[in-house]
Amino acid sequence: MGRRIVVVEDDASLGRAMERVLRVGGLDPRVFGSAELLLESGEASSACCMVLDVQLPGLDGFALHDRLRETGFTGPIIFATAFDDREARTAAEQRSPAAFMSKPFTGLSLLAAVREALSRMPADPPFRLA
Amino acid sequence: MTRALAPLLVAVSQGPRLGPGWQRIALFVFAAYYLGARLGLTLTFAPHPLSVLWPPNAVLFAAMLVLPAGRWWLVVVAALPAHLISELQGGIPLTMVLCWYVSNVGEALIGACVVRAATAEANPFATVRGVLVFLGACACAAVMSSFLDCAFVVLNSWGQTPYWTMWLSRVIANITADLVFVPAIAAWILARGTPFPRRDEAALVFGGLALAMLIVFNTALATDWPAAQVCVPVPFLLWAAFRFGPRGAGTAFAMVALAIIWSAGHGVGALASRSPVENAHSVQLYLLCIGPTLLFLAASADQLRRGVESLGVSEKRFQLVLEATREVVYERDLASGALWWSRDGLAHFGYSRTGALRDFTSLADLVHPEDLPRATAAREAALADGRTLWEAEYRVRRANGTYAHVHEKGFIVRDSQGRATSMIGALTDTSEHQDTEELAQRLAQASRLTAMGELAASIAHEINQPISAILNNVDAAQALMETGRATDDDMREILDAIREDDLRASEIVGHIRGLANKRTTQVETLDLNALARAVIRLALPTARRRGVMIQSNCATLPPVRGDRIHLQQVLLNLLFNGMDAMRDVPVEDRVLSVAAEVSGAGGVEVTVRDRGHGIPDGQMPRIFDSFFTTKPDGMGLGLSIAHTLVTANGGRIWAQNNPDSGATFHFTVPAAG
Repeated sequence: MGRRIVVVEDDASLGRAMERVLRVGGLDPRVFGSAELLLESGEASSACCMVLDVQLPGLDGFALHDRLRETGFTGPIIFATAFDDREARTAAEQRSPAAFMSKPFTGLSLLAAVREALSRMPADPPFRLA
Repeated sequence: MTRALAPLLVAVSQGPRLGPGWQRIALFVFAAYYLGARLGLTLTFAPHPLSVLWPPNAVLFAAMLVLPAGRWWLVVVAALPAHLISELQGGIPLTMVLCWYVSNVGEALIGACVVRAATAEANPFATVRGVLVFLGACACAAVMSSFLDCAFVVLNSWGQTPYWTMWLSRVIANITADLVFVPAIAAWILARGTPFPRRDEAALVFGGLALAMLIVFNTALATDWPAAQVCVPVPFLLWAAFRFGPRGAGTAFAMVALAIIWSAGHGVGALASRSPVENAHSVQLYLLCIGPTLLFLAASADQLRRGVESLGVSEKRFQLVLEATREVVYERDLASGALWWSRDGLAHFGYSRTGALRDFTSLADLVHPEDLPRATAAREAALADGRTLWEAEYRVRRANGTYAHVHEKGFIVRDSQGRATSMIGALTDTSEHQDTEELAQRLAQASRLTAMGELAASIAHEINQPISAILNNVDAAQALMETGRATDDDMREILDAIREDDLRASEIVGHIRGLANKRTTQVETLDLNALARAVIRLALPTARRRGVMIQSNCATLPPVRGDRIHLQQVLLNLLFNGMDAMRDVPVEDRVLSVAAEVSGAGGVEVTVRDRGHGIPDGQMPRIFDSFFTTKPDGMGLGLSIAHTLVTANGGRIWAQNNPDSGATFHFTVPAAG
């Protein structure tokens, strides 16, 4: 089994497609429909890399990013958004993401971005011990 | 006659009453009667005891003419002491004095009754008919009272004059007196409250009259002048009557009468050249000819003046009506073809009045060529069918070349045989109305585009989701195939997912096309639940972005009739309006509830309830006005467009503030079938 990738995407169909392409790519994807569902699951600590949709019901992608960083997640985070405007880009850049993906994106570009992020990472889960 | 007498009988039947100012009336009657009697004695033709006119009777007549019948008794009572004082001085037996009193009062009563019975005019001297009635009343009163008078004289064995000779002289003297004094007194009292006009001119005419009389009647010099000199005062008399009405005529005539009688009685002036009896007859003939002429002239001049005045008032009112209704009115004389336009009529369309009157001989010159058949058809049909009314709508060319939309309402004037003699048309400029409708349509379009702008981001998000999913699935499938581990089930699952996302994308595209197309109304039978779901789905991304939760609660609904795009637009606008309203409330309170249920009227009522700031007091009536907004960056079009579209679809839209917070918007859609 490959490395654990956490995907937060509220569109179920897109979530399943991303999960599919990441698994075929040899990775171990986990998809959550909202930021809250991820935080409640406690599985954030097991992730090597995260792909966060920016527009989410409730807590959005940026807020989730900030929460994860506060709780000690140091791994690469990739943002995905359909609202590729200046505001969103600025907000993303402030958080130095591993990648910023503008929807629509292909499965290959998603895989490439995730692999690129992981390649700059040590093999262990990137959770700093508090 | 009976009907005319009714008010008189009512007045009398109400019984005698003093009424206000009775002392003044009594004093006036007493004084005037006494002075009249003294004047009558003064005006006798010395040395014969021949009075050409006896004023006291006229004083009573005038007083009764100006007073309501219920107060005539006051006149009768007040005159008695004056009568006794003046008559008893002459050493006449009391019985004779009292008899004369009865005949004097009788004459006044007869005259006043005849006038009251024959005319309802308050001032009989103001109309020609009134003057005619007055003259008739004088004759009646003089003839009838003189029978009594002479009978009393004979019964009292007073004097030796034969009955009929005495009767005739009494009749003429009484008519003359009434003619001279009643108008002079009554016209002034009846016209009290109306200022006497043109004092300078009055001074000139009455000064001239006095001078003329002085020369003609009161100088010994005039005795030798040709007889025609009696005409000298006539121009002044006519002048006074024509220019100053009954008051002018009465006053001038009384002046002349007094002067002429006094001078003739004293043997001076134009009518004093013969024996006293002949002179007296000359004077009476002169006065009887001139008096009625003056009264008629004054009355007809007065009527003419009032007619012109009321015509002016009516004309002014007519102009005000035209201005108030902003209607352009024209009249065409069908015999001569002459065309008349209301004063500002052509100016309304930018034409100068004189130029346009010269250039346009027919309304057809101004009508848009395309509309000409439409403009004339209704009128021609009305003319041919013998109807009197028609209506038409067409365009009229303005001076600047543009066209005004007008609504014409016409009326055909017909003679007694039913032939059309002229027609009158009133044009209402409906351009503004038409422009407003066009603007509303453009705004509806613009609003859809604005909503599109607002929605563009949402739609991009919405459509990018299935596209992203498809792209990921395609790559997953390709990668699976490359590994050679791909099973049929894996591939089927992926293809199904791709089809589903494709359908989702095309559905969204369909919505966009529907919103953006310029189109005409298409009424169809609709499922409002499905429509609401589609609209909510469109609004959902924006709602998420703004942290707004949309709750929907749709009951089982009957099918409705309406334009799908219109109703989608209405609901979208209300959703965006609700979201805007909750911009400043905490995220957890940003809940927008959409509900649809069967309304009382049989259709469906949709409600959109927000928890925002609500509608401020006093602004409720204006919220559906165009360009009215309470939002810092709002255009004020959303609700106005919603209103327009709901109304166009036969529904109703309204809003109310919630008891707790925010506002609820309602609109109805009529049921299908």
